[in-house]
Amino acid sequence: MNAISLAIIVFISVVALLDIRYLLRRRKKCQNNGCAGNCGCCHSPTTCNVK
Amino acid sequence: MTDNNATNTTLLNLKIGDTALVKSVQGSGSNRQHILDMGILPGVAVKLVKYAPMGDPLEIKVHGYLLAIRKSDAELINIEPISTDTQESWTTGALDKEDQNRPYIESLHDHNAHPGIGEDDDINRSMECKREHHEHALPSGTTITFALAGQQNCGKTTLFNQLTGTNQHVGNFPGVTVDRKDGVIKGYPETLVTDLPGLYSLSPYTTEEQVSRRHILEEKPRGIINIADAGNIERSLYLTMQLMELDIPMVLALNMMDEMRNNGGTVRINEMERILGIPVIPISAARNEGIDELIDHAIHVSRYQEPPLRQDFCDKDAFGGSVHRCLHSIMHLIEDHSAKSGIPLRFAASKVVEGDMEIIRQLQLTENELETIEHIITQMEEERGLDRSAAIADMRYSFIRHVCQQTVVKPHESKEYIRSQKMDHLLTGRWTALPIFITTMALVIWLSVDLIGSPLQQLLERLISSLGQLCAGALVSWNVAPVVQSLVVDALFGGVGSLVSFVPIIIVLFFFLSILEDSGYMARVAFVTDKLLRKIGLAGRSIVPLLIGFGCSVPAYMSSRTLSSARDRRMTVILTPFVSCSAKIPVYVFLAGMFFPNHTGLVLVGLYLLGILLGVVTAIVAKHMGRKSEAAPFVMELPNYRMPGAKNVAHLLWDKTMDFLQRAFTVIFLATLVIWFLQTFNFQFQMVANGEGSILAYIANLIAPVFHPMGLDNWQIVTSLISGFLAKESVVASLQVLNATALLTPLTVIPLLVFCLLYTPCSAAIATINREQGWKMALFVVVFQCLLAWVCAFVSYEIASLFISLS
Repeated sequence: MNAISLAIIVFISVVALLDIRYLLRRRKKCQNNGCAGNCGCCHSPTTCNVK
Repeated sequence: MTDNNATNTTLLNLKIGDTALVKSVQGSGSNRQHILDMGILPGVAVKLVKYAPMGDPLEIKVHGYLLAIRKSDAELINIEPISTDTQESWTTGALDKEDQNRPYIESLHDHNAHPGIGEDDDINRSMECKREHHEHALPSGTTITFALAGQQNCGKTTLFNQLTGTNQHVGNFPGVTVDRKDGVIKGYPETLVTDLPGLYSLSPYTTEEQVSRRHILEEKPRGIINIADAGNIERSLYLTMQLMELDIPMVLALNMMDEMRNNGGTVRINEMERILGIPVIPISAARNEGIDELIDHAIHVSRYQEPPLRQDFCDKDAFGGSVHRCLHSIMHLIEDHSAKSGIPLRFAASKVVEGDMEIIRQLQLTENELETIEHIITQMEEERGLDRSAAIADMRYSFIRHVCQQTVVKPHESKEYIRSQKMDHLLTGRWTALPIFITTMALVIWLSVDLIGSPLQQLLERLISSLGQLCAGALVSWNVAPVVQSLVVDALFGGVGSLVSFVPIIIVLFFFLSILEDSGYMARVAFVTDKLLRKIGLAGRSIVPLLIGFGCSVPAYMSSRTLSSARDRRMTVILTPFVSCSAKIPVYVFLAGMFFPNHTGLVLVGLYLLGILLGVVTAIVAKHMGRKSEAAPFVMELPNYRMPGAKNVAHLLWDKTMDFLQRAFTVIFLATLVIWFLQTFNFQFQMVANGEGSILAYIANLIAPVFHPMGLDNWQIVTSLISGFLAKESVVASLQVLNATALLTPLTVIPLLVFCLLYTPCSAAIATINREQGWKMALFVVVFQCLLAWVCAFVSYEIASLFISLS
């Protein structure tokens, strides 16, 4: 596997991990702020009302 | 205390075009409170305008505006006929039974002076109405938070867009699927406006009302911007009075003043300011008139924390002062509880009288206090001759009538109203309403999915595909490993890219829907289809998301948000998978065309009808299983038709597109990576060709026996079905790639078609359900649809086997 292949894999993995972290953090923040967590907003970064 | 001895002449006995006086409103709970809040009170004149094409609901005119009300609710309204020669005067509001004997209400007004409420100091100093406001001034640097509140169809969204421009953030209110928009006022970075949902009162009955009330009481905005429709001022001031009771600095924006003036009406702004004790600013949100003045006043009253000068609306001389004495004695009684709980005193007292359990609970009143309050209210009911809810609503409307008598020159019948009446002859006419509605929706779906949306989608698809090919070529030339090539080309461009290609359809569909919504047609849709949908436990408006579902499920789930009741939203989400989206058409055409070449059309129609039939059965079952108390009240306004605002439409399209794209690059991106991994590797983490021997194939092999009873127990077919979870179109591609069609027969293709019709929606749709209704509902839909699909596929297999054996 050459350097470009490795770079692509690392890049996609980092993006995926950042995505997971982003979603989990949103959800946690939402719940910490008293959200019941049943509206689904905490799963969607654009619609989460907790900044 | 409802008047149970009233005669049995109800609103249903009224003939079309006749007017009568409301004698009493029966019933209890949210429906009754909603009816009262809408101004249907004892002594008020109502005119029956027409029945909906299916005979229910009916359209009535009250306080000069049109309301749709169900027969079951109309039956609760007892009426008193009035002589034909005075009917016109009653309807136009020239007469009022209670007002004839009512003493003149105490007013704060001075006919000459400009009150200068909410204005700068140098002006205020010259006025008699001085305030010592600077002692409460907010420290500099404090963010001035505003709640933007107004009734439905009063131009609230237009005003919000004018105030904030593009500085908006769309979200939900905590715990509920009710849109929340926050934005910074243009040129005032220290401000933050929250757009509350459209509401008629602060009673805690609809989700919107609960959310708005909670927002104001708990988040305590520094100020309230209340927008009212100048043309429907009586109805609009009902909410204004409740907001004023909250003791929060507020301004009243009288919207659509240009229309009012053009129709010969006007408002004596200074006098209204004087009587209400808050700044009143005439504006035209659509034409951007008066907005700067509104902002100046709103910031002023909030910065210097100037609460409304008037919160007491009860007339101490009316009906022996019964309501006045009742409210004031309760205010004294609960003063300490109100201070402790942080609920404004006057608001708390009104709500205690109305029997608002949430407020009573929050006040933590003792048994003795509750008992005393009950005695006070009972005494008031006896003296006033009305029950508690009706007495409070009547007190508010009486004050409003007096305010209007002193300050409002009513316009003659507006051009917009006359135009709406003419349009309604066709759009809600007995024989024309349904054909026009079906044609409109068919046209919208055809334009969105076929004529405009589809070519744009294909264009975007080609663009993404060419980009993918270009990328693939580059990867080959750079000697990138085949697995990485597959990851980039198949997972990123094939998975996420194909979902992004939905964007044109979503934009075009929501463009038409927002035009229909903003023009006032959607309220008529609810009016026309309510009876039909109520039979299966839905409200009239649910028809729109269901019809959109024929085009694409994703915007269908997204548009379920516009439904006013949580129960309707939930039911609509459950029923949408029964409607075949356009992505399933290639599957139907491919399989039916291959195995039933002479009856392809018939098979297609049969599948669509089967989906609808099963949806209806599911709805009826759910209706009988559901909690009856959750049924949504249906007393809604039918606004005048208007031209939709370009800015509002553009904002909505931007919000929906960004929401979809962000979802595609987060949740769906991750899901695509997982599916790609399962499809590409075996358990030794070696790449496999065409999915054979992959982890996904192994899983498919495990699942395959489940499909044995209907003859579909091949890993190729099951893998194809699993790939349909990403996008329905890929079922066809997978069947071809895995050569699964060779394994099918006319007997097994029938259950396969039925299974494809009913099984789980695609991943984009599931992600949308998750966002709208939460993960539990998303999981329920997946499991329920898969189980139902299996049962129906099995039954269809058995029936087909029977037919074949008989023939």
